[in-house]
Order: sequence, then C-alpha cells, then structure tokens
Amino acid sequence: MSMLAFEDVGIEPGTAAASSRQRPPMPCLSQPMGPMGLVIPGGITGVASCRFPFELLDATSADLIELPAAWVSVGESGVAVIDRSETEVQRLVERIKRRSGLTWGQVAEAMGLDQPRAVHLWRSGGGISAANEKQLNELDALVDSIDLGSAADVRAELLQSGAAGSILDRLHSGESPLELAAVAPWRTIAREALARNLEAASEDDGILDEDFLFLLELDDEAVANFTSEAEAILDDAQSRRRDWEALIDAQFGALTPPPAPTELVEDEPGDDDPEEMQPFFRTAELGIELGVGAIAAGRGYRERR
Amino acid sequence: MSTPERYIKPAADRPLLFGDIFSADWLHDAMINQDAVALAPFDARGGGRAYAPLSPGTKRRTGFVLARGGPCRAVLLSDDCEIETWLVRKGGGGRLLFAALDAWPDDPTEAERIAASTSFRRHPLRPADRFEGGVVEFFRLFAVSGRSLMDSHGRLLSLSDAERAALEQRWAAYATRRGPMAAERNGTKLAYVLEAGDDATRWEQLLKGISTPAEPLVDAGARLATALAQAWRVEGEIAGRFADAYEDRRNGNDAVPLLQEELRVLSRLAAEAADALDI
Repeated sequence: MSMLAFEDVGIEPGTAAASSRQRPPMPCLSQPMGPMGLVIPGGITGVASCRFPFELLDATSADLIELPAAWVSVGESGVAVIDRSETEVQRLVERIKRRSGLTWGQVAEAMGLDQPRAVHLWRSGGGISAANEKQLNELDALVDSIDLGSAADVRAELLQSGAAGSILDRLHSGESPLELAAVAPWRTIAREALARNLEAASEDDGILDEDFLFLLELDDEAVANFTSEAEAILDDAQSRRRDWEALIDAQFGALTPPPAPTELVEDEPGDDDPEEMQPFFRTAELGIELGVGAIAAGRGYRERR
Repeated sequence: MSTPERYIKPAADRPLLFGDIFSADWLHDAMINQDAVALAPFDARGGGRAYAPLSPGTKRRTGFVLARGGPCRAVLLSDDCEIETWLVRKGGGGRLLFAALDAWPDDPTEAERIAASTSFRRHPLRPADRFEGGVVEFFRLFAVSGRSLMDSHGRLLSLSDAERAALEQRWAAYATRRGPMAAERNGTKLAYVLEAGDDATRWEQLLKGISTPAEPLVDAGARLATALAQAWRVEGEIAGRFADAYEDRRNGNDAVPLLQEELRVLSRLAAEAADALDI
C-alpha cells in the first residue's frame, strides 16, 4: 500500500487543475523524483517544476497524493524510489479490469470517478486513499460475486440496463458495490427462472430451461428443499453467482445418469425364408372375383357428406 | 411398366384411404427398444428446443419417448372406417397405422422375385407411371397422429381398387393369418398333410420337392381355398354393401338378392370342399 501523507514525502499542497469534479488542492513534489522525469505542466500551482507524470497524480484524493508505490519508500530524505514489486492495490485493479471486461474508463466510473487517471495511477503502483481502497475492494467483491469465468459475461452484467440504470451507472453515481451486488441482474434472472421452471415442472407438458431439467427427477420433498436453498442464495446479498451455479450443478450431479442406449438388432432384411412354402395354387386362379374387402371397402368419408 | 391405373394422383379433397402412399420429411418408421425412456423437452441454453432423457421408470408423462427408426416413405394401413373415425369424427385425434415403404430393387432379378413372392411380410407395389415402385414392409409398422394427416399432409398417391384389394389380402394374411392368401397356404398344407400322414419318409420327399401330393389331394386343398376365398368375398365386399347402407341410414334391401346368391355360392363351394375330402 502506498498512501503517503504529504508531510511524509515532503510535498507541498497546491491547487488543482480544472476538473469537472471538485478536486482537492493539488500538491506537487518538492524535489525531483521518479523515473519518468516529466515536468508537470503549469496547470498545477505550487512548485513550478514537478517531475512526475500528471496522470499519475490522484486528483480525487482529499488529503493524500497517490504515488506509484513501487517507486516510493520513505527514507531519510523523505522520498526514495526503491520498491518495484507489485502491490495489493495493483493486483486488485488489474484483477477487476481482467475479470470485469470493463475499459479503464469504465473501471474509473465504477469507482465513482470521471477520469481514469487515478486508476492508472493505482495500476502503476501509485498511492491510494483509504476510501478509494475500500471502494476498490468492494468493487472487486462485486465483480467476484458476478464472475463465472467470462469477462464478457461480467461486463454484460454490469452494463445491463435496469429500471434504476445499469450496475455501472449506479456505481458511478455513488451507490455501494456491496448493496448493488444484491440487485445484480443475474439474481433477477435466476429468480424469474426459478419461478418459471418450478411451475413448468409441475405440469406434464411444461417446457423447462436446460438448467432446471433436474426438477423433473425430484419428488415433491426434494423440490421443496431445493427451492428453499435456492431462495436462500438469491436473497443473501453476500452470496455469489457461483454459489447459485454450484447449487444447480449439485442437483444434476445427484441424478442417476440415463442408461446408455442398448445395441439394436438390425431388421431382418427382406422376405427371404428358405422354408417358405410355395402354394400349389393362387386364389386369382380359383375363379373367385376378389374386390376390395372389409378393410378397404370404405367409399371415402367425404363422399358421404 | 405396368398399367398406369395402378396408382392414382388423388385430388386434394379425396379422403385418405387404406393403401395411400405418403412421403414427408417427418415420416419415420419409429419403434421403441428396451432402452426407451421418457424425454423431456427443454429450452437449450444456446437457444432452440432440445430433449433430454429422464430416469427409467419415471412416472412423469412428457408425451415424448426415445425411439429408434429412420426416415421413410410409408403406406397407410388403417382401414377406411378407422381413418374416417379419427380424421372426421374425432377431429384429427388418435393414431393411424402405417408400414414403411422400401425402395423397389434396382436388380431386375430381385425385383421379379419380390413381385412373385408369396411372403406375407412384404407386399410389392410394382413400378408404374407416376410411381417408381416400392415394397410395403409389414414388419416395419408405426403409428402417425391423426392430426398430422389432416388435409392429407404428405400423401403422394392413392392405389387403384385392384391394388388396394391385393394389399388388403396380404395385410390380412400377415396380421391375422386369414383371408385369400392365407387360404392358399392352408389349402396347400392340407394337401401335404393328407398325402404324408405319419409317414416321415413321405414328408421328407414332399418338403424337399422330390415329389408332390396326389392330384385329388391338391384339388381338395384348392377347393378349401376357393371356399375360403368366397367367404372372404362375402364377408368383405358383399357385407360392405350393408355397412354402407347402415352408415347412410338407408334401406339396403336391394343388396339382399346379391347376398343370398353369394351365400349360396359359398354354401356350394364349402360343400364341394367337404366332398373333396372324402378320399
């Protein structure tokens, strides 16, 4: 973790550059540091020559400047760049990005930010505020609660429109990731599917979804037990989508697999029968006129009407 | 080529009849095997309808079952009254009986053999105009829902009355071991039995074709077959006239003289067959 108080690193607070959001006073470094060696342009007030990439400065932090933690440790001089190992925050950011399928801009939105600069800062090891770190952890938990292994699927969940907007919209507007986990689209879909399939399973001609076919094999008591477990998962804000899938999978796992098809004896070909007796005479030669009989005697039902 | 009248291209409003030939993508000579299980239809994850087997012995009635079989052409074997019952009176309910129609053999020798076969199991429909021929396989029976046949769906051709009569006789022989074809065989067997009696050597000679029964015994068998054929005629064609009158709720007295005459013929033929056995 690389959240450094201004005083710890000898930074003088400055004022923020223009931003659409309320930004805290933008500090600047009091002495050259960091491998990038860039000069922060004059939008930042305070010390004129800061040698740090602007995008690495977290403009959202109220009382902290967030630096790439890999670059920073506090020594006698106040700042030293010595630690290049990946931090927990870096891993967190990368994991959220990887599992969510969101763009960096969308990750920033999910963090309630308008710009991805801070996310890039965290990604490259920059310091992070306690509030943002907490938000980041909760966002990670939200993504984890949705993730089934497909980033595209998680992304779709986060972007799916709802009555109150998408999960991403609501995150951006400041709603808690943990609370939003309780209203993720998968839960709504699962609840609807559960109700629909329970009803279909109760009817002989009901058409179930593939995921609920096991219901056809359960007796009433087992269906009731499953329903109870299913509702408990769907109602628990802490439960994950994987828990739901595991419950479904467990139902199938408990079933007896259908038997493999048995070998079929091929139809005997033709009428070859060496023992077949050949009659000495044919009725056609016996002088009896045989027309259609009882089976084919009908004149046709429409002729009668 | 046989006469073109063997097969009829039916008008759309011609009722379905015994012997009609069907060809449709949905026709399969389905049969169940010991591994038959109920199938449950479901909406597949990837979209579309699929079917999954349920546990053996399930009491759930899904209406679907795992069956074996393959696509085929087929011939309608339900009798005309049954067809009318399901398609008209019961609005397309029930099941109608079909037999698979195998292809007519390309090999002329095999084709001739099938055409002349006295087997009850298969019935030849010889090639003719409008139809390349086929072999009705009574041992490959299956049912088709009446609903699927409403408006004559899938019907290709109808048979002429002569072809319907021939199909009917072989079908009766296969399904009931009765009727004219069965009579041919039973009359021949009678001749064998009267000839050989308990003589094993004579049996062997007859069965190997080394000798044949004496002419009077063959004649006795033929007279039996003739009487049974006449009985078939009375039971079917003649009695059918009264069945028609009944269905039409009309007087059938005009058919009575014919019935009397045919019964007297039957009586005479039966007596002759009996007399032929006084050997």
